[in-house]
Amino acid sequence: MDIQIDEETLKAVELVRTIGREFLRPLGLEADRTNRPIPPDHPFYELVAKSGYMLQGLGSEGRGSSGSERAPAGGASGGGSRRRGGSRGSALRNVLVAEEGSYWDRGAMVSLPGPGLGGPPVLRMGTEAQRERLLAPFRQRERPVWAAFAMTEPGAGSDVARITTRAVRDADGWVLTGQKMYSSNSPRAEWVVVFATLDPALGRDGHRAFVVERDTPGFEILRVEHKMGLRAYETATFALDGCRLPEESLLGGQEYYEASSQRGFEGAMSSFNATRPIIAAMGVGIARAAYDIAAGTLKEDFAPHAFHRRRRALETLVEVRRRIEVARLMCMRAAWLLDCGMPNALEASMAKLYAPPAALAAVQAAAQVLGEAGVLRDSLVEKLARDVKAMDIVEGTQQIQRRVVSKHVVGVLGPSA
Amino acid sequence: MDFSIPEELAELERQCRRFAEKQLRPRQREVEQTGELAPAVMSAFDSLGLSGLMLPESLGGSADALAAVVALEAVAWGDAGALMALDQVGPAGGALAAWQSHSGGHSYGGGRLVLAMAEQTGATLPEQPPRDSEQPARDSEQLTGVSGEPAGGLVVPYAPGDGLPEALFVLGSTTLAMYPPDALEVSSTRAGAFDACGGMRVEVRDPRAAEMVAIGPSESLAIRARAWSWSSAVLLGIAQASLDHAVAYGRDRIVFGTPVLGHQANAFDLAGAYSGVEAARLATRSAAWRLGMAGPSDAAGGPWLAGLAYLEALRSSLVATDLGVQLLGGHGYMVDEPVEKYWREVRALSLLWGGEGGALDCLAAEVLTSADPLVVPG
Repeated sequence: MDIQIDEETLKAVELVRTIGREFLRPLGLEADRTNRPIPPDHPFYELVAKSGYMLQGLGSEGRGSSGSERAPAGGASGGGSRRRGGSRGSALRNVLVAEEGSYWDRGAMVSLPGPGLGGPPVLRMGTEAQRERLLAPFRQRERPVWAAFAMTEPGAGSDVARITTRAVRDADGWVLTGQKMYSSNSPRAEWVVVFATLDPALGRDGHRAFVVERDTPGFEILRVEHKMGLRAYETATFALDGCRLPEESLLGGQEYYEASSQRGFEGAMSSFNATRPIIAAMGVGIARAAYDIAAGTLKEDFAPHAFHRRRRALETLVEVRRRIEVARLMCMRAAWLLDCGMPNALEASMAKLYAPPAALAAVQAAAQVLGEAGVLRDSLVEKLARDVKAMDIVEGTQQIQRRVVSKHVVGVLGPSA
Repeated sequence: MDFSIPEELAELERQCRRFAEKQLRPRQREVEQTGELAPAVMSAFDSLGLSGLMLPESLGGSADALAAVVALEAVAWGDAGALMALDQVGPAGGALAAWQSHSGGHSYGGGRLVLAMAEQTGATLPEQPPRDSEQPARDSEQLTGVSGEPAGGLVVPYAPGDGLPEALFVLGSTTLAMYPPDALEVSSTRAGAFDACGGMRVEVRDPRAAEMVAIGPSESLAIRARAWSWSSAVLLGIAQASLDHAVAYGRDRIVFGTPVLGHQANAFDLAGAYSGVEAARLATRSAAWRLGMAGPSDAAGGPWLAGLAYLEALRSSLVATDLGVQLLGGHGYMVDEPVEKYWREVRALSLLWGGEGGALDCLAAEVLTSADPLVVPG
C-alpha cells in the first residue's frame, strides 16, 4: 500500500492551480455573470493549446508513444488483465487534475480544448488508425481543438439501452438518424462520438459507436441549453438528419463487435468507468472551494462573542473535510484500478455515489457559515451551489450508481429496479 | 500509488477470517451468555500473533498499524465481544508505546491495559507549556502531582477474569498519566453489549500514585489516532458482518413475489450502506498506512486522517447495522438473529474512548491548520 501522490502528478496539479487562479476562476465567474459560454476564439484557449494541455488525460496511448492494444471486451471491468502496481495510463492524474481545475471553476475546466468525454471511447474502442487520426489534432498544439460525446436522447437518459438514434448500413457506409442532447462542447467540437443502435428492438445488442465529424451534412446543432450553473461551456442538443458516414466512422470497426454482441454497450460502460471517477473528483474540487471559503471566514471574520456558533461551524468543517478526504481516496482508488488494468466498475460507481452528495453538503455548509451572504448572486458559494448539483446527475445519477452497486453486491435486482 | 494490501497482510486477513468463521462466529451467542471463552480459542488467538501487532517493537511487537486494522476487522467480523476479551492491549497500544518511550523501559507483563481520555473521565491533568509540536518530549521527564483525578470511574470492556488492570493510561492534550494496579479499584458491571467480554468499572483509589510524562500535542494526537484506528477496524468488522447477514437474508426471503433485496428501495439503501462501509474501510486502511510512515514526509498527517476515518467508520457502521435489523423486519429485532447483537455493539462502541464527541473536539481544534495532501505548502 502506498497512497503518496507522485511528484509528477503534483506538478501537473500545480500547473492547473496556476491556470485556475489566473484564468479559470475569473473566466468562469464572467461566463456565469453574463450567461454566455467562453467563446472558442478566446486567447486563453490559444495558450492552452500551445501548452500541450489538450493531451492531458490521454495517457501514453493517446499521446502516441505506445502501441498498446485496445482494452479487452468489457473494458476495465470486463475481465481484463489483472496487472498490479504498474500504471499504464493517466487515470489517477486525470482525477486529481480534474479536482484541481474544478476547485477554480468546473465550467471553465470543462470548456478547455481537448477530446473531453470523447477521448475515453476512442482510446478504449478505436482502432489504431482511428486513434491516430482522431487524436492527431490534439498533439499538434497549433490551435484549440475540441471533441465531444453524445449518448443521451430526449427519450433515453439513465437507461441508455433505450436509445433510438438509428444506424443503417448500406453499400457506401452508414446513415445516422436521430437526436442527441446534453452533449458538452459539441457546438465547437471537431468530432463527436455518437452512440446509435442498429435496431431499438435489439436493446444493448444493437449499440454501435460512431465518430461524426464537424460539417457532416445532416449534423445540426438545434439548441444550446440554458443551465442553472456551469455556464462557461455549451451543452447542446443536435440532430442527425440522415447523416451519411464512411465505413471507417464505426468506432473499432466491424471486427470490434464480432467478439460479443454487446461490445457497443460495453464500450460505453467502460468509458463510464473512466469518466465517473473524474466527475466525482470534480465534485471534490468544488467541495474544497466551498470549504476554503468557510474556513477563511472562520479564520478572519468570526466575532469572538459568537463562540458557540464558531464551535458548531468548526465541527461542521470537520465533517466536510472528512467527506472531502474520503471522497478523494475513493476517486483515486477507482482511477488507480483503471491504470492497473483491473476491474473498477464497482469502485467507480461508489466514488460517484459518494462524492457529489458530499460536495453538495460541503457547499451547503459553507453557505451556512456565511449566513445570508451565501445566497447573494455575487457570492461564489451561491454559484458553487448551482454548479455542484450537476455532479450528482451527469455520467449516471446517484440512483444509477446505487443500482450499479446493489447489482454488484446483491445481484438480484429485477428489471424494474 | 498502490491501494492494495501486501500479500503477507492479505494472508493474515485470511487467517483471521478463518479463525473468526470457525472459532468465534458459531459460538458467539453461547459465549455472550456464559462470558467464557474456550482455552482453544484463546490459544488460537495467541497463535495469530494479534497482540503483538498492538505492542511497540521495544516490547517485542510490531506496532504495525495497517496489519492491526486488517486483522482486527476480520476477527471482529466473527465476534467483537470475544475480540475485546482476547485483546488485552486493545486501543491502549499507542499509549503503551509512548509510555515506554518516555518513562524508559517500563515492561509489559501481558495484562489488561485500559485507556481513557482525560475529558472522558473528568481528570484535570497538568498542562505543559506550549512548544513545537514536532519536538519530542524531554527525555524521561517525570511529572509529579495531580491536579485532578478520574471522576466517577470508567466503564470499559473487561473480562472479569483479568483481575486488576496492569495499567490505566489517562491521555491529556500534553500529558500522559499512568495509574499502576495498586492505585485502582475495579468492580463488575454490565454494558449493553459485548457480553462475551463483560464490563468493569475502573476507579482510581489513590490519585497520588499517578506517574506522568509530558508529551507534545502531536504525540497526544498520535496516541488517540491508534485508538481511533482500533475502534474503526472493530466497527467495520461488525458492520460488515451485519451487511453480510442482511444480504444473505435479503436474497432468499421472498416478499411480494420478489427477494427482499430485489425491491429497489431496499437495494438502494443497501448500496448506500455498502458504499459507506467501503469508504470507511478505505479511509481506515489509508490512515493506518500513514500512521506507519515515519518522519516529516507525512505531510497529510496520519493522525488527522485516522480521526476522519474513525468518524466515517462510526457513521457508516451505525447505518449498516441499522439496515441489517431493518431488512430482516421483525426477525431482526429478535435475539435469534445476530443483527440485533451487531446493532447493540456498534452503538456501545461508538461511546467508548471518547466516542464521536471526543473525536470532534480534537479534530475541530485541528481543522483550520490541517494540511491537504494535494496542496503542497509553499
